[in-house]
Amino acid sequence: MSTTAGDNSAGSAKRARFEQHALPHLDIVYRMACTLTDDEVEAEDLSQETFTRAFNGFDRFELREYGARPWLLRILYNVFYSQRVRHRREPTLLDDVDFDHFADELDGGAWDTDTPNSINWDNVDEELKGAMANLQPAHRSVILLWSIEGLSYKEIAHVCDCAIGTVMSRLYRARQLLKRELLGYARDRRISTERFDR
Amino acid sequence: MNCKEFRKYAGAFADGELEVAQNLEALEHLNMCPRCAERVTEITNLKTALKRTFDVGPAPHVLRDRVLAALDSPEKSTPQQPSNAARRRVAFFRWGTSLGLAAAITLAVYMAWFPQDVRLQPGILTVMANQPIHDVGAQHQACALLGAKHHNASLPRDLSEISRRLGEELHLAVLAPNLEAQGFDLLGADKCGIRGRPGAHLLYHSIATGELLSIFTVGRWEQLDAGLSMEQSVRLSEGEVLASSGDEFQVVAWHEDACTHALCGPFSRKRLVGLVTQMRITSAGPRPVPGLASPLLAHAP
Repeated sequence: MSTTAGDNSAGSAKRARFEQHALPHLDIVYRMACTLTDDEVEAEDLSQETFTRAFNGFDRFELREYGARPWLLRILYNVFYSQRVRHRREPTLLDDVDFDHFADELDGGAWDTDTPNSINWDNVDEELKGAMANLQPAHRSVILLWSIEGLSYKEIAHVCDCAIGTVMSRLYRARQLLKRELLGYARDRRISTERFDR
Repeated sequence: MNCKEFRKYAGAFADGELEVAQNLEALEHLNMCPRCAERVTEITNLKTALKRTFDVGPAPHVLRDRVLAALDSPEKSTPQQPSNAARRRVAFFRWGTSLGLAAAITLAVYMAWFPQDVRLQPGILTVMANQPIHDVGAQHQACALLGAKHHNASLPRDLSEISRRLGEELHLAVLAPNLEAQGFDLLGADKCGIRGRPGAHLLYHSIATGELLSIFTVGRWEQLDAGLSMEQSVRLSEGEVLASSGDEFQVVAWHEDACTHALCGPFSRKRLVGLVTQMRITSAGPRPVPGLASPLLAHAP
């Protein structure tokens, strides 16, 4: 077999493997791109760029137990944050919070004093969008990966390049921040069930 | 398992991420605690609401075709329209001196190599979030929790003596400025450096607000400014650090000969840059720093 024929064969095999392992996750990548960019056209560009880079780096990809999904999403996030113009500089999150230690913050904090299940979850879509927009990017990323795509903590940690404990603490923080915002909206608009429990 | 412990693990329980033994403990607790059971329901409801709100459905068919076409020529396949972000990425900065002009040309060259790492604002080289900036913030936060206990009992309290003693022990030109005129008092000094990097750490507190300011001195740390090199003895690097507590810290750092100094605290960038300028003027006589003094103050927000 000549070199050219060999190269073509290897290229075809690579493409076949890529289509088998990576392409099935196109919908997921596109969905996350939409939530990151909030623009369908940009999301399509971002998705295409993600898959292009993934294909270029596919020779180095190692298939693990959770498949190509976290790997693709990590590329997506890297592409997005490297392309994005920040009108305001994004701060770095201190990832030092060991999950075992962040429980100390629960004592006496304002985070957990609200009554559970005090929000009417059927009527909060617009408010949820507003609350999500106010989250720091690192918090927003984990909460979206957790909720929309149902990624495991291990997968989220791989996408975000952080420890599992960090994922857990960011999820906890993000949920509390969202709840605080939603309760604020609810108090303004009287959609909280608490208002009616008199 | 009590309620406090359960609150910590409620999310992991709802997500099926707990180990078997922890899961059993959680279930036992839930059987006795309706309030914690409602917390789990709330987490599940939030997840459902988020999925409903943000799930845009499958990718359009045309995107699949585009991706497949791109696989045929991956090196050439970039989106046809550059994003507005890419077009606005480069910003010019102006220096008032000829040195500044040469610096601008040098930095413009480096911008081509590191477009994702550096964004320039007038008079200040800004480094996007990087690990060293993160480490400075982490060290500040950790020591700030100690407060006055941060002081190493073997060190004097007199600032010039601290500088001399630490300088001798660490072989560094330790920065220990008197910031009384700027409203800061020394709280304590130690040899903790930055996250395992040997050096000095002076912790000051604002007399007016009690907020804490860290001044670090370590051996020259090139990675703090993403490794860009310029023919200048001093260049500012800066960043923001967000602590998990929600506190935001600014970091302003610069190289000076064989040392790197960094300021960190919950203050505005303008305030920190002003402190740096004042320190360098008062500690070494009226010695304006190239590109640091008036151009910075003139352009700082």
